[in-house]
Amino acid sequence: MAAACGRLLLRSAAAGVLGLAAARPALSGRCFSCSSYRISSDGEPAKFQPPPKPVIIDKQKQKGERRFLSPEFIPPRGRTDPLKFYIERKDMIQRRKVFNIPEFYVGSVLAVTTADPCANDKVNRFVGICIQRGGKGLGATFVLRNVIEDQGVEICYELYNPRIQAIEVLKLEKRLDDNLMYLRDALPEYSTFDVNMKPVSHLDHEEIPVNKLQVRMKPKPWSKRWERPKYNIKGIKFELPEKKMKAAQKWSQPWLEFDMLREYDTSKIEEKIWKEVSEELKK
Amino acid sequence: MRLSVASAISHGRVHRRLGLGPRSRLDLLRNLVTALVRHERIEAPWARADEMQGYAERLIEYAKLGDTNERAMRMANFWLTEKDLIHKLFKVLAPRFQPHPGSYTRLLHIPNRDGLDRAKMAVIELKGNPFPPLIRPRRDTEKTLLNQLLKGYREDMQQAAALQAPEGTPV
Amino acid sequence: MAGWGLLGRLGGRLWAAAPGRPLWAAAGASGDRGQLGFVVRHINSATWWHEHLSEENVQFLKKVTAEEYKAQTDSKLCPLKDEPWPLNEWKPDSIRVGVVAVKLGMMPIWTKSGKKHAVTLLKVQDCHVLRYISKEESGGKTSQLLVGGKNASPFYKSESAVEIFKEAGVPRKQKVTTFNVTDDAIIKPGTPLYAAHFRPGQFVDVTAKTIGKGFQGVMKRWGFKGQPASHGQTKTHRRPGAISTNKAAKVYRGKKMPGRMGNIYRTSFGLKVWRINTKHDIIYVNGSVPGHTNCLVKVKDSKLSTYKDCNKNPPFPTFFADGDEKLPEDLYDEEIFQFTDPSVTYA
Repeated sequence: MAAACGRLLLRSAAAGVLGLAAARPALSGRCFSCSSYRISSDGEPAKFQPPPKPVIIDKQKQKGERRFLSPEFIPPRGRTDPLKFYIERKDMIQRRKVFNIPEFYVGSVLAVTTADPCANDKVNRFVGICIQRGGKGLGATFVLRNVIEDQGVEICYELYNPRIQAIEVLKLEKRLDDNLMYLRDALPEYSTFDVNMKPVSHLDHEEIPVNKLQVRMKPKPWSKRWERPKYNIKGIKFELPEKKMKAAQKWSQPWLEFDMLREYDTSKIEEKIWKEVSEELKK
Repeated sequence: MRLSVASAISHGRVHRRLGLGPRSRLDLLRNLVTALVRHERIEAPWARADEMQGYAERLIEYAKLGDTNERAMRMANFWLTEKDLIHKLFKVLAPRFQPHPGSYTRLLHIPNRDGLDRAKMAVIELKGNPFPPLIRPRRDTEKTLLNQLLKGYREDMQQAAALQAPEGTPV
Repeated sequence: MAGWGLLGRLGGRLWAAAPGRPLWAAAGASGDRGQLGFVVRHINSATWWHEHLSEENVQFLKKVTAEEYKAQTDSKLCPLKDEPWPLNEWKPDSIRVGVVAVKLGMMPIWTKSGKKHAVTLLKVQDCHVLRYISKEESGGKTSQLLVGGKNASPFYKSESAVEIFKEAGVPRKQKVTTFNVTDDAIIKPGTPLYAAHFRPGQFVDVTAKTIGKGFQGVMKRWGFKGQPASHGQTKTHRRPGAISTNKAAKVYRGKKMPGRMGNIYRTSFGLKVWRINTKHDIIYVNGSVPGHTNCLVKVKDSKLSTYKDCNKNPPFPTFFADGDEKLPEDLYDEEIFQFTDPSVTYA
């Protein structure tokens, strides 16, 4: 635990110095890395005595270009009173102040340590690839998948569950899709990850790298017909006959793109919430 | 998408069902939007006009982005079935509504249709159109007793507020 | 279907359009001859106000009303101060008044043992006691208190309908309900009620109108099993089957049949209060509550005798904001995990 914390500290501090200094394009504007902000801001003065470091921190603060807001902060569309989301947000921020929830995406490889009354040492650690992020507000979840002893295992974690002891990002990257549920139907090697995997440092990458891997699937039947345009999957190397791929296009709904009242523009809400969250976390 | 109380159990389907399906619905509204852009004032069944109003306003919002915007152009291309109107949208309507933040159309009720179905009808128009204004119910003049009394009260209040610091709300 | 369109428009449309109107009129030709030979009506332009009041007067009245409402709601006045009604001590058989709250939605909470519970957030919004009805007046077994919640515009109701609010000196309320109370728990009309009326750890009953499902068949409405999908069924898959016996030769009263489902008052009993937010007046109640989001619900102390021990010594007859008791922003049940604590561990 201590080692993990130390590594996290180092990593996030370094990421803060190098990553935050550079301007980030809107491409990766999804997850707010509160942790790196907080830890680097209050952890560093104690650690690093020489003056150049604070100067660098000042620079990143001035720039403030890294706008990462975790997706569960964005309220869903609907008629719910915004006060409800505000109340939830307060609790979420409170939890983030105590507990480091790192920035991660669907496709990142995570290690999650949870308190488990049934385990031998009362602690359970699971490594896997994040295949889905779901839920809004305090009930936000993410699903980790791994293949252990030739058996696919998926665990759905609640992001704000107090039983979670540590969330560690082993490999920070994105994939071509926002939902990797198709890994269930892919060959098992694509969702197999070493349990003792060492964290890949994310120092020299300013952008979150996108892994353009296209997976090969098991033979049909699949849990979903992933070739259909509804899912819009880019991360599968389809080896279906031409005729079948063509037939799947029968379900395409090209007019949906033009239904303007379906659009949900969250940019303004995101901006506002980002400001609120970052101010609260700095306190 | 406008949301209603009914949407709680309608699984997100919060629009009217028009035509023969989702595609047909948009096609139908598309023709109405095209007609509105061409004629600037049209009569239609109220439900269709109401449904179309949102799309017409969004289309103008898009047009205000300019004809160099690719998405705006795609939208205009889809929503205007008569392609000569694309020019009108970007060159006439977009400059006309540029200073206005929203509410580009006006939807008004007219008597029900005379046909068999007695459908509820509406007239929808783009604001700033060259037609003579529609006849609307007239407001009473300022000079009625009620208006004058209220005006007097208002002015008294203003004077009182000017004299002393505002304290205690009036009833 | 028609209703919600009108509802949504009522607010912004006309007022947003109003400033722009002279410009648009000027842009049009000044000819009086309309293209259409009839008077058109905007959905908002048909009210008495629009016909008889000038624009400035309408704005003025709106402003004055808003100010007045704000004053009445914000004052947090306790009428007990000016002309007190006697305060009594809580006794085990006294029944307190409840509150009217708005259902905000649901969220999860965790206990210190790491167990997750779903809670419903109920906001006590502008809740006031409106009238006291004595036992003789009501003709019932107990005296009653009328309580209203959530301010509403006074302009869509007749003078007689808003009289009750005027007497209590509070804005018009969207919902008014009756609470049966014992004589020692009566409160002077005009007293505001707050979320701190309830305390974490106690149990409440929540009453609200369920979501209307429309006309439904027996499978959805009553949970009948229906018939098999295949194996020679002809036009019989979701039907009720037999509704009586040959011998009875009648259909018994109360037979479960297809019909309107939902949109009736239902109560969930014995819901635990996990947490109270005194700043925003929010009650965190265990589990689900009838009704849709943003509906108005009635919350009162649980009448179930099982929870009598948990409901001892509440703020009696209610919590007074200008009283001596100063509360922190959040009141938690002792079992609740607070997010300021470190993660839960099992040693």
